[in-house]
Amino acid sequence: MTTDHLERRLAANLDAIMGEITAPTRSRFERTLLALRVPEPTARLVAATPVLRWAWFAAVAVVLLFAASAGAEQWRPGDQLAVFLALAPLVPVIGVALAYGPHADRAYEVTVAAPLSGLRLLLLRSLTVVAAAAVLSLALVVTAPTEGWLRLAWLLPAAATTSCALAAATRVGVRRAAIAVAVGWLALVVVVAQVRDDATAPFRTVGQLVALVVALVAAGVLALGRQRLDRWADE
Amino acid sequence: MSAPTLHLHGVEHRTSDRFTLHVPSLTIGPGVTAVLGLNGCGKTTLLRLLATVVAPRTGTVTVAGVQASDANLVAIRRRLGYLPQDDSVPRRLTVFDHVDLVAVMREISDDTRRRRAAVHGALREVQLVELAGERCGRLSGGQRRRVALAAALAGTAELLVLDEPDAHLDHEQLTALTASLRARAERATIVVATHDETWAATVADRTLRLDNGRLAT
Repeated sequence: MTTDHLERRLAANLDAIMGEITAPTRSRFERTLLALRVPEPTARLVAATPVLRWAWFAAVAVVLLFAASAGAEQWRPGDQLAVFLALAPLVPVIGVALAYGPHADRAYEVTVAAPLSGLRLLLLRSLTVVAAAAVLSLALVVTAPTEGWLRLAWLLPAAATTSCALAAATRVGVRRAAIAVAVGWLALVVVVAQVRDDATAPFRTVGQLVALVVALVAAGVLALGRQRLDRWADE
Repeated sequence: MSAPTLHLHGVEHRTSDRFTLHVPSLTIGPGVTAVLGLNGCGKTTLLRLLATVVAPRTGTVTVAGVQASDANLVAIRRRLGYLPQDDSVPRRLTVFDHVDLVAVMREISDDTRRRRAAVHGALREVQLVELAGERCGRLSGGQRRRVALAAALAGTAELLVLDEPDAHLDHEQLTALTASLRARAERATIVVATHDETWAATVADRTLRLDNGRLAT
């Protein structure tokens, strides 16, 4: 064995020891994810991605905004809930659009040049935002029982809008997809509510079933086109 | 795997109304290749093409015989370490966490301890171990540049594409970088863009010169 080879092995062993010593303590959030058996690289991707903070803030802001206005006298309870249900499914879509791209992420170009699946990264970011909003929404249901479980009726539509946005992102990029889905969703909600003369009509049983079907179809389209997310930087 | 050979064939890449990079034919073999030229001559565009960040409008880029296309990007990127020209270091993370996060995205190792060892090794190479726990936002521009460099050097990439890795480095750090790249040159293909002809002569096995988007002979 040559001296050079021995030196390299020694340096490698030293790096292995020092890497453990030097690594900063994981955040409480990351430790929680690990305790929930989330694989370590995934927990790292979710907990240590700085741009996700803005997406979380967007989720938190929208939900808290409507929580704060729940007691406003000028709102009829049905209308207030309808606006919440219409906007909540857009939170993950907007959050992901904000959290993915050269405008939001200093490390975007490094991310593009990395082998990590673009689909995996986008799904992780989407799920993180949805999870944050879902927890807050659940808290709203508990603290405002008069509105009942209809407050959770945004979850399936959110799955549908997010799936549609991700599926469209394989063709037109994340930002354009997010804008198209947001505009389309709001137009759909307004039209259905007008036709049925009920602001919460789009979120009742039929609407939930349609959202489920759309989410599944969009997920299929996304699966078929997932390789397109491992692509080049938009210029 | 061995160090990949890069081929560009019939590449034309327009980035603005006033600038198009023309590379009719170019082969870059193992070892260190320095790309020289004035500001705006196309160095960064060439490196972004080689790093599969952008697709050529026309022509082909191949890495070890594999054409850079939608279907092959991941396979090429698994072999790649890339340092972009622009500041790519988020401010909120610690030095170690940023390099570690990039290491996760680069799929350097499934084993956490091995990955952390690679991160530490890269920080050692750029002399940043003492600042591993510091937030990147509290570093100087030169130190952040070295953080980005560590993220590119972590692991054993066979293809390193480094856009101005010598920027903001002092003499001692530049000497260390030169030694590091020369040590890797035996088993990797390394392309560096630089303005420093003296350093290029020291570190590189060969140089390319770009002039207004065209290879100068």
